[in-house]
Amino acid sequence: MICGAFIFINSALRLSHLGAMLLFALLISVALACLSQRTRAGGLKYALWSFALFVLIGVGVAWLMYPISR
Amino acid sequence: MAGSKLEASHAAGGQGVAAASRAQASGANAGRAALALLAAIAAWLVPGLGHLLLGRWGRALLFFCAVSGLVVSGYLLRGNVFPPHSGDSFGTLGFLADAGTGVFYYFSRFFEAAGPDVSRAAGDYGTRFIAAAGVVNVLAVLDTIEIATGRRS
Repeated sequence: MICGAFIFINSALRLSHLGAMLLFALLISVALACLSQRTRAGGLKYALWSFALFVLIGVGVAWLMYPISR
Repeated sequence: MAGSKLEASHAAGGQGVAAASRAQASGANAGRAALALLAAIAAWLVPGLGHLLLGRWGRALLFFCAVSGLVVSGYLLRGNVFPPHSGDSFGTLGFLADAGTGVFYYFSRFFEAAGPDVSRAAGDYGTRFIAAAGVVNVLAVLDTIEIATGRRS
């Protein structure tokens, strides 16, 4: 049963480039917010801000690299 | 004469109190250092456990979710896990980052039964996920030490 669950998860985790970036940005933002902020409100604000910057900069760099990708 | 004896006895008493408070402070420092060491080892072995030992439930849960989410995603993306004796400095750095995940490092064979596959982009992302999880957990260990020693609230 456990093996079946892992085979299911393995097959389900077919992340696109954007999906992988979003997952990475979300988890790292949460961890950095925990490390740098002591209050819940401050941590939430920091996590949201960090996540938004990760995504914006990631998409921006992707567009800059688009002309040299082909 | 009697006054000077009284002053001497007061001075001796004051020195005794100071020595006792110094001994108490030294004992408290030793206790804090032992707690910090225990919490640091626990935090490294299982992400979030160090914060849990210090009574920081919310922080412990968030660290566990973040680190385990990163490392398990990395394994499922079939990222590379660096062995202890890779033979080059890049491999050693990779091993140090991966070893930061504690017990999750030893789960790699369980999650990656088919082994790593870095020929695809997803596998390369997985390698970064696992290394980032280790670095985040090392930062969490340092945070645990600061909390246990009282340098951080």
